[in-house]
Amino acid sequence: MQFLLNNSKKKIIFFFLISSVLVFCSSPILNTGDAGELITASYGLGIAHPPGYPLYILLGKIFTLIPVGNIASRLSFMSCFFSILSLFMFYRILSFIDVQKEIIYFTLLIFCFSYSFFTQSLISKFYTLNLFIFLYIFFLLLNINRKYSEKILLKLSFLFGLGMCNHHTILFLSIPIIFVILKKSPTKIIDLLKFIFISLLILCLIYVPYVFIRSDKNTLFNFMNVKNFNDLLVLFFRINYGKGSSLNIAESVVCNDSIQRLFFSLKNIFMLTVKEFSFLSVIFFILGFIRLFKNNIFIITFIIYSFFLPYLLFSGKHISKIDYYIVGHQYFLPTFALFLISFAYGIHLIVNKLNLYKFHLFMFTFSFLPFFILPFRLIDSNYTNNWMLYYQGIDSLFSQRIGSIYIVQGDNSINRTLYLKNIENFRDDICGISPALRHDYSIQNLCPINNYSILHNDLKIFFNLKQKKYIIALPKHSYYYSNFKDVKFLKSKNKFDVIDYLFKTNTNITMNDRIKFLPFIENHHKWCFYDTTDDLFTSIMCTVYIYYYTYLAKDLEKCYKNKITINLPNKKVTVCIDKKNENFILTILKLLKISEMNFFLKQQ
Amino acid sequence: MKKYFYFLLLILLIFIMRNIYLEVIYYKKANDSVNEIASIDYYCQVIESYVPFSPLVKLSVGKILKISNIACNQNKLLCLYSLERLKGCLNSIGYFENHKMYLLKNNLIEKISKIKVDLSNGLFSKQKFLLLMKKHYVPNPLLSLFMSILFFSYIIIFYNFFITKKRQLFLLFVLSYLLWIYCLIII
Repeated sequence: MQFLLNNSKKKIIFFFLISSVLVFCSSPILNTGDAGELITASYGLGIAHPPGYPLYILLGKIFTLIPVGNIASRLSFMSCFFSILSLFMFYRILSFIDVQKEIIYFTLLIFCFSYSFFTQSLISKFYTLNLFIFLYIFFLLLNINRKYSEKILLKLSFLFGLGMCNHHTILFLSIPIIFVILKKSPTKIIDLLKFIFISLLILCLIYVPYVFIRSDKNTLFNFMNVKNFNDLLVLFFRINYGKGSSLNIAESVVCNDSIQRLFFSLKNIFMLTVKEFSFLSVIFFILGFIRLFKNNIFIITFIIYSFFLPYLLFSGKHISKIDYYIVGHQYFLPTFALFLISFAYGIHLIVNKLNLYKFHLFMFTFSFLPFFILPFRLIDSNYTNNWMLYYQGIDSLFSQRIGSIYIVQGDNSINRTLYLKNIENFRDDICGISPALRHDYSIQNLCPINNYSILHNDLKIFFNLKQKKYIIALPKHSYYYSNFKDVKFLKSKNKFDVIDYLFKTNTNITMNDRIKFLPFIENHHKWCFYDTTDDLFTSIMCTVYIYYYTYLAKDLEKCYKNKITINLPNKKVTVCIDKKNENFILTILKLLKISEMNFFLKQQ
Repeated sequence: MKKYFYFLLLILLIFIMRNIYLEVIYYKKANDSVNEIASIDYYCQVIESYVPFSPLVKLSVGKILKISNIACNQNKLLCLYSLERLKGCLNSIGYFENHKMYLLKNNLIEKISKIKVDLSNGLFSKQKFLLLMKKHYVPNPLLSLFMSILFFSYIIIFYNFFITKKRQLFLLFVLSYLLWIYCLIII
């Protein structure tokens, strides 16, 4: 099958094209979610949220040493790198099961331009690294299943150990690996012990010393201080997450409503797959599934087993938009890859039956056909203009008074503050505190007392573990910004100046205080419109500007005539228009309307 | 192995091209902006899209300093903004700094402390701000590079030891592993 180009040249052009698209669309700065935290932890060699992700951090550190772009974009580049490697591994898997080259290219492009894969490749997250390890292990399993070799077993054990140092979902592969070893190995128990020993050894050689040593250091970000074996288990099994901990998830396998749960998980994953690859792909998947059932029962068992992952993580009766976004589009990349193996096999079957491979031009065009999906991805997942979170972080910090204590709420806000304060050292006079639920990590990372006692001599912050509250003692001259209930103020001396966060309600802030930031906010708010991604968190973060404009308009009200009622996402606010400030208020209302429209459009 | 190396080089080249493209676009936008804040933002974006030896980065630093010099006489808030942003984006491109950059950063820190003292109505002293701004926990870049090389080395050596069972490899593994641990401690 050599049409126009031989296969190796085609492969080079193919991967060059894909790499160019991914790198050009990747995020130029930090993005929403955990990115800020992961970037800060990688740059400072710290510990990220449980399970700590030492492998991602160690590899990320290498990427931060590349002298191109900013630290955040280097980590986005790392995601691109591992997504390209994952596609390369996927290519090897499909070649291994003898799928025709043109169909392989077709399937790879479908996978590459699918929403979840494309998005995860462009942002600073560990899922593409996880996918690469998963696909590599799967490829080795296919090899070992065909012809058993000790060398492959060693490689497999090594990779599994490395995978455990990255993301806990890799543990999910232990059952198929054990199954294959017991089925194929001539010395079953010895090889099984070898696998367990080597993978645990890798875990002990990397994970354990890294976590113990680095958590004790003053780094840019440390989620928790691991002092003993118990802390280590808390971190590794994500015990801080309560019901979401690895142990609780594993325990929940057997439950009273398991049949109902299985039904919902299958329904959810079906919906998600149809959203990703269209309903037509399911038909090819079924065809491939039937064929593979006759030819390769191992892959079929693996595909069926892969549906067990949604059973654990995605089996709710009603899946909210946020669940879809956080769980659905991140955790199931390996499941999608397995789905596409059967899909590719289905297409392979049809092409063979209809003898289409004889029509070279048709097959050549067919292999590059999924490029028609690319324009859609260039709109909804192009992160080139995703500067909104960054600029909002700048607005939030810059609008604080000098030497103030700033309360940060929500993952997106905490993580972007971490990046801005700890990497960029932007407004390092501000001490940040977040309402952490189970740990006092925000004090260590956003407001190290040793540093900020330079500014505030009497600054004392205690974390009350029982009440899950911070108790903050401040001298009277400190400025304090707060907008939520979790913080208890302890008056250490006479008087406090308690002021709310600039963008929020119930403020003591004066009109002059608010209005002087208008030029900055106007300039930064525009990034909400430039950004074309359908990132849910970006649109949520943009609502903050709606609040700002509304309260600015309200500040400016001078009369009680010509009342205008503005519908905010949560409540209604009445604003009056005076002749003196009519034009100004109308401009602000216009900006407000645009930002509202932008928000609602993104919500659609 | 050679193939993988070329592949890595190729996508690194694409990454450099992407950043050059972004630098040019942002620089044009910065020059076209009539608004000072927008100009500062775009010039900072040029610096954030850093490519080694790029003349646009140097030009952008100069332009921001020029804006800040004018702003510092009229608008303290804008002055603080321009200097804080410049300091922020210089820090965000990592620790590849020469002596000139070091001096520039120190100069920025001095200026920022002075403005902060003014803006806080003398509530905090300049010395306090200077002390605070010089506290960083960024690991040493050379040690980090060495540590990263050691990390890869000991994994590859360990893997080869399991396959070949050579005693020398085991010793080499122990040595590189202990060195890696030592680096993690001292970084």
